Amino acid sequence: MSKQLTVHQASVLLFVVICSSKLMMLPSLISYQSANDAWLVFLLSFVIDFLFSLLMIFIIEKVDDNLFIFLKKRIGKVLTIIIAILISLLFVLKCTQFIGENYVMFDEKMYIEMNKPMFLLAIAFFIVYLGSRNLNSIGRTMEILIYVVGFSIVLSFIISFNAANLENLFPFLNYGVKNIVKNSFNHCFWFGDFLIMLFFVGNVKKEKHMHKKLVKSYLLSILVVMTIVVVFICVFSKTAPMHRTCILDIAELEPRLLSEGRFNWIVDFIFPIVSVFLVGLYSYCAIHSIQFCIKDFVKSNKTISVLIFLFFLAAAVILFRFNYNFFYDFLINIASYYCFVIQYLLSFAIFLISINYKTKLKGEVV
Amino acid sequence: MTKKILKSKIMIVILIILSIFVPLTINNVKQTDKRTVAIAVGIDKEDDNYLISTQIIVPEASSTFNGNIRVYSARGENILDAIENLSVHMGKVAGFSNVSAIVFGKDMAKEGIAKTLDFFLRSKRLNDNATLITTNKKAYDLLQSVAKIDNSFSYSINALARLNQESSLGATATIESFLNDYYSGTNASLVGQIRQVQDDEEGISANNSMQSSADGSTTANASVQSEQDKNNVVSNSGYTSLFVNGKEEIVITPDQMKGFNVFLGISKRGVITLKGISDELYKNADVAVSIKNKIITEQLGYKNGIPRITYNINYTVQVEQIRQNGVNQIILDGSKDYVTKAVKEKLITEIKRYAADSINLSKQYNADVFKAQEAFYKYTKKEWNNYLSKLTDKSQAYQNIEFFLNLKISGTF
Repeated sequence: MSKQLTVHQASVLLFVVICSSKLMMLPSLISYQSANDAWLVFLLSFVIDFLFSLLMIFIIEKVDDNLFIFLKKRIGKVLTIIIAILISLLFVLKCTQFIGENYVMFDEKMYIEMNKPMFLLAIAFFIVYLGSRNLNSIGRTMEILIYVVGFSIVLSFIISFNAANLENLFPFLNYGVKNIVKNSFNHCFWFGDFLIMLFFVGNVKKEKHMHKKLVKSYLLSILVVMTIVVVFICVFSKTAPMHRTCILDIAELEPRLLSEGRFNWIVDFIFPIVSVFLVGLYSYCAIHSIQFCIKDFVKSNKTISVLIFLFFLAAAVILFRFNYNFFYDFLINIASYYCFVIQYLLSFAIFLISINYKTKLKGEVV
Repeated sequence: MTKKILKSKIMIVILIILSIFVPLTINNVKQTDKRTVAIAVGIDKEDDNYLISTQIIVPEASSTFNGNIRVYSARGENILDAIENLSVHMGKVAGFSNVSAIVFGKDMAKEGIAKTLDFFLRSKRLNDNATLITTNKKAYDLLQSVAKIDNSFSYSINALARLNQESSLGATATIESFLNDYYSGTNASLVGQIRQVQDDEEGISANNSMQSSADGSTTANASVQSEQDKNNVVSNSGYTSLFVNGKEEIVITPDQMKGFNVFLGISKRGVITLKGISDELYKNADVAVSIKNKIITEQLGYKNGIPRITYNINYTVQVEQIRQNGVNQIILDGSKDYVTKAVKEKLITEIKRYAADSINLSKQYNADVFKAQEAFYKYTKKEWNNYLSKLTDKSQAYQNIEFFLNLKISGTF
């Protein structure tokens, strides 16, 4: 069990995942449909996510086994394999989406003509490496990255806060409650970070105050994201949808800093790099789900899992013709239903299954 | 050693990455050979063509301080076409991400700039903080003139524009603020104007002998004939373009801008000269009063369904100069309160006059630069919608808004 995450690593992992996945393109995408109410869409989604995260923490505390071992014991192998396939497909889509966002950030901010196949190849190497490592390897990396992520968030906030006009939040509920609920549902794909916590089950060393630390981490990341989103809306107002890379764009507000210091480059480099690690984490989740499905049939199941994952990833990228706009349309119009079922209904079902789980057996590591 | 390396998966991955990406990387041409760094852009309209001009930093040793700045320009049927032609002229791709000033020539401003800015912002060709400037002649000529004066045009322009607004003269706008106004429904913006005038007028001469050897600015592009005269002076005196629906409607004079800036919170300083003050302290005196601070609050309300906005403004002022009976009175110590009742009354009258003129002017052009409609929508959405529903022509909503001004003057030493 030495390859388990510490509670600190798990908390850090949660923080980085939530912050980096929400502060890239999402504020712009949501504000396109909800304008100044975008922050309310975030708030609603976060409230739901937080409640679900409490359920996940309950499962982490209660279950000692790996998620799929636990499910296998409770509902049988066939159903568990089906669940693993469903989860892995969701993570393949999440990976594709973050690769897309990462590409947009590099393409817009690094200001070079990027070769898409080469970019994907570089990401693929990264995925293969991170996806086939243990969760604690990613956890250790995040323990280092959290400092630069925290620093760049603070830097963006300092640069942009002065330009934020809180009046831009008014009027509240500009497009009504229905719009907020609809957009929260449409963009549920970007939320549901508690799903990562399913992979913490049996993979986190149980320490004192585990529950408290994980809750604190979740709440802190929500607070940070909400603050930046509010600043983003207050700063850009009507032009917010045009600013596709939230955290990077708010760091470019001060013309003097742009001309003399270019502090924004710190943020410009950190977030794309962090998002690559995020892709690595999602690929870990997908690969380990696939691995569970094939481990009884294939000897070198890890390598095959990685190859299957890469195949699906390449298929998704080719299917959407390397175009983020097509993919975005698919995500909000079709994938949101699938995502809702897996993220919320399936997670809740797993919680229900875990309620009466009493036997704490030493589980095998998948 | 080789065996050890080949046994390690991570080493194999690293070797594969290196063997693919290193040859690609070392064969890449360095970016500075392919791209230029523009610090200011000028856009002019000439008949059916657009003329794009850029001030480019040339990173090389120069004997003069402004020898590193060159102005290039190119024409095209549309903005993108002109940018592409500009790249062809320069032999490099025009990189605009460091641009911090965009100058629009007279004809371009009249035709409208919103779509051009929208294009720049959406295509991510510019950063959105570039200061917008109009000029009374061609933008190309202004870039040429300024390149002779200063090699950091963008910094100077930003500084000038911002100071103007703070001191109640002129206004400043960035791409971001302009487009926010444009999309807000009020559709009106104020953009500072840098004028090109003759050398007998105020301003900075563009013909300084120290900069006469600025070869880059004069030889960079032979394809454009400069209209500027040798004694061209760049003048930033507070003239401001009023844009409605993205098009320049009128150029506001510095005096008129004083009125507009009464209502705009950012302007906190300024000088007002009061003539013919007579009381116990003054005898038919001209008193120069400087505004030291201004605190402004707004109250929104409706009377008989008609929206009314009341501005409560507290000015802190100081008497700086007194001219009495043709003689300058220079002793201004702290023993007397020079901001007398007569000064306050006269000041209130003057400010109200400026303010009324600006309101009338803004209504004449249906230019809600004070964002009154937006404020009513934000804070009194229901009443505002009721008001709009009663109007036959909603575009005239601004015309009926009633403005009230409560002024309070406090003196300081």
